[in-house]
Amino acid sequence: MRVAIRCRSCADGRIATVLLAGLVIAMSAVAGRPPLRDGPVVWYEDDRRPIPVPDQYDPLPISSEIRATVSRPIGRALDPVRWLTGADGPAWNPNALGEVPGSTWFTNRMGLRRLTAEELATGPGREGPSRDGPWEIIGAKQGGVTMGFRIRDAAGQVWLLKFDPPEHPGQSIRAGVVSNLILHACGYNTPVDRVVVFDRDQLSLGVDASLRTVRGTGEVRLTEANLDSVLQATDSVFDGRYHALASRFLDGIPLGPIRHQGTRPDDPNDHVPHEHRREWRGLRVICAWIGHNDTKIQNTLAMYEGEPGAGHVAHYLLDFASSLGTSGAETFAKFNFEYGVDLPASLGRLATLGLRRDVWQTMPWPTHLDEVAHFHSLHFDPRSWSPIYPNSAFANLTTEDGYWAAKIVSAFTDRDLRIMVEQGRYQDPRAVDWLVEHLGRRRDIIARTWFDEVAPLDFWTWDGAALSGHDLGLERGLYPVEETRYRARARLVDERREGGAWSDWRALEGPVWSPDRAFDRTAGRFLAVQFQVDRGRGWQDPITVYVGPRSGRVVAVDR
Amino acid sequence: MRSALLAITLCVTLLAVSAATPVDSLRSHWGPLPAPSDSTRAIPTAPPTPAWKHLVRVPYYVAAVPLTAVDWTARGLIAEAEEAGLFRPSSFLVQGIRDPLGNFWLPTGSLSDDRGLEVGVVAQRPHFPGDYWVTRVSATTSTREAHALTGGMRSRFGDDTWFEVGTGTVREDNVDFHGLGWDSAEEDLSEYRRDIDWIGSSWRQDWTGLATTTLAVMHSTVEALDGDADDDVGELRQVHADLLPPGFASASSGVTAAAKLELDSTTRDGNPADGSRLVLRAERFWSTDDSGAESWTWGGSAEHFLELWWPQRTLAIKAWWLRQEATGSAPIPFTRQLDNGDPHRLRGFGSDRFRATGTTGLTVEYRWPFWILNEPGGAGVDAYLFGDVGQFFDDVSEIRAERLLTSGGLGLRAIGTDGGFVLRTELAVGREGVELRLSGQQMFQFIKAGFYAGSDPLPFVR
Repeated sequence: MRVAIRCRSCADGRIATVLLAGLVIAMSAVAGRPPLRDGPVVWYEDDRRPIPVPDQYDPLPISSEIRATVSRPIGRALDPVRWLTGADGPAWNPNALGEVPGSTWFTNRMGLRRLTAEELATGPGREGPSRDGPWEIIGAKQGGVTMGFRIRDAAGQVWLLKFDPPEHPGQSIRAGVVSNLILHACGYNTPVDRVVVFDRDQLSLGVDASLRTVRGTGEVRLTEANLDSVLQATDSVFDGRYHALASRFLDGIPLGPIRHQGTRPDDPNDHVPHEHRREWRGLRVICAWIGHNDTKIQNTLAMYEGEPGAGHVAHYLLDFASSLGTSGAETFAKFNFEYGVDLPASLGRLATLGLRRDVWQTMPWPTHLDEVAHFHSLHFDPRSWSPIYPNSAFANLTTEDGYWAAKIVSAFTDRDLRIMVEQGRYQDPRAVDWLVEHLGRRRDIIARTWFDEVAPLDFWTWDGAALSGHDLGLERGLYPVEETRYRARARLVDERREGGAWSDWRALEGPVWSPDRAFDRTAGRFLAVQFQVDRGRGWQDPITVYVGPRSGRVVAVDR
Repeated sequence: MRSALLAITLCVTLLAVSAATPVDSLRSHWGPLPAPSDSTRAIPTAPPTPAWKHLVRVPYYVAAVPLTAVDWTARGLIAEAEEAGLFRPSSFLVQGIRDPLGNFWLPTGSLSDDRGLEVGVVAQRPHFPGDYWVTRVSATTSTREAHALTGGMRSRFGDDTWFEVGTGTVREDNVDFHGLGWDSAEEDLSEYRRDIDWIGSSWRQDWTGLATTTLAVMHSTVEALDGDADDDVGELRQVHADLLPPGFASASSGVTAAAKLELDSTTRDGNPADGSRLVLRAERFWSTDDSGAESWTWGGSAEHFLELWWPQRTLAIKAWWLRQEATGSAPIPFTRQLDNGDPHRLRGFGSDRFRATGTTGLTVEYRWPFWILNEPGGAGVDAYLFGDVGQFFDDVSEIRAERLLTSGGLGLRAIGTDGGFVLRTELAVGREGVELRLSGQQMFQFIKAGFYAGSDPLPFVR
């Protein structure tokens, strides 16, 4: 009996040992980066191939909010890989340099080049509805919490005319325009949103214009009398003229909101699960910057652009009324600090028995500025920033995604910000000053947050004799020059990044490295140069830049 | 010619590029960007995933199957409910279903320790029998065999006056009884059947928003009978055979006149941060049967709300005293005596745990925000710690410090978007155990539903 037990123990032990060894081997297998490719860097995503018009996607709002707030966070919380790594792996779509290729989702703008003042002020379009004739009201605005109409201008273009709620005239329409311009400058697709100023006689009633009743149970014909009462109720009158946000209807066939997770099954061009798109993950950082918290899927829109059968799907962000401290109909300090339903925050309040106050309840909000509400840089922490609803893409944000977004955010100068904020046509100049000042401070906080984690040595070029980069931390005024040191080392590697021993570290004056002897491109091996920077707090993790032997160009950057 | 061709080719290329490319410019910090071509355009693919991730996730996927099934089912139900419009303000859950005759039919449900899960249906008819009237009929049944049929009408005169009439009949097959007085024992639990019928009317007048008076008159009959001995709990007649309570196995009929004065300086209904509320009550009962029972019930309660160190950190204090005195030739039937029901309740003990002719107590709640929908003081959920101390008695001399019952616990209170109280759930610990309770009534700012709503009016002065 004893023997049998011992033998069984031996067998169990062997099985356990084998399983353990397998697990160790499996665990030790690190994620390999894609092999180096000595060819052109991919700058475009191949997602504009002609497809048939996909079906309309019309998710139920409450169901999708519950799913975003309950089901998916629970799923993420139970995922053991997230326990171990804190994320769901790297984004799928960056190119070898860590940039996001242009696509129907994203166009590289401020991240890769300086935009002119004209481009910043124009965004997706400078002109509002044509004033060559009256604006014909063709119906009431549907959905959302603010009042508005659908109008057709003299050019036949349809616009959404949105007013501020009477409690906060001039807040969300201005914030909506400014945030639209910022997101567009960052690279996202947005509709043309402009603040328009008009008189009552600019509006005319369409034949079939109707209003939905308060309870949403029916529609009533819009008359001059109730148009007047609606306009009066908006209170969006400044110096005797109405102020509103005019949002141009997008061209094409609307296909409904964009999922924050997964792909659109009937779009063959939609190859990357949206939660794995770097620009969708990095959007979290940009939304944190401008306090755009209403990022539910209903504020996105997929459009079929082109002739049916010959077009493709393009992806837009919509409705930025809940940004820069405003919250649509009403303004609430809580938003941007907590999710709408935030269990950890609530449990924290429960555990502290109310002895601790939430940060957002103690903020010195600019109460003297009617047009700004709850926008401040004090206690701003982009890592803990929360939209109203969680989403899978934001939850997947990695350090590399954050760095990519921080690089874009930090590219805006104070002057750039002022140009865009002025497009909000704020009535109080102090509101403009406040927003520019605190957008600038929040920008710097974002940049330092991720530049402290990823050395911001970027935009590398090889001219045959030297490898030159930019220290974005210095160029964007985030770190003191006198405390910054650089060093580099090099070696030749194959496409799997394997090679001989590294050279000794060599101190550099700046992010510019020259080889001791000429790079032998005939050997067919890549030149790998590792750079480090020290801001007075020790060397940051290195970044490695690779130069291709055949192309003689920078072909990859590992961060 | 060659340069012209080159120029045309370049123009065509640039036009093609500008049409196909999403970039605004080919300039970049990386140097000139290449034009879209087969070599610069690609379909992204998933990066290599380490093998260990697959391995680690296997048990997760297996364990997640039931969770996924629950999630899938719940989402399906929610989606169906949303599709059916149940979440809209115009939903039938809020407004009711309107029939062709103009009545609104509404499902109801509640959960309580004395009746268990109660479900029913309410029919309301606005503007009936007159413009300012509303009429209501309800029928309910519960898991503890409590069945009720009630009807009522309410009218509003001006902004400050309400008039209600109502009638109802309730049959409860399993009502708990532990004995009478402060020293009733938990282990003496028994059950009996109680039938109540009533008809009555009330007049409520709001005076300048600070004071409200209510006058009521009603006729009621309550009968305590043997229950159906089909469970483990003993019958009252058996368990308390040596001392059957007055009024058992007989019906008590009579007329009640009641008056109530409320003085209220609180500024919010659900979670006031300041102000006080004083309620004084008196009730006179004359029997119309041949028992000769007559009694007075009188008392009151005082509540005060105090904001502590931060906004929405509120201390709520309430003290109460209720007393019944028999003035006729017969004792007060036990079915008309005071019980441990809301709002003067010692939490941690059941609603029918005590019956006596007097109750006094003090309750303290410390409230603070748990979940805030939008802003403090608005809709959300408050957490609270509470402590209750009090005693039931039949004679004032019975009140002793060592006989006081104490309990304490933790709860959550939901506040609606209109600032009113919605629901509370609490865990109370008393000497007889732990009680988990879900209630649509609050201990403070309690407003008893009137004849219109069809609530049991015994005693009316709660």
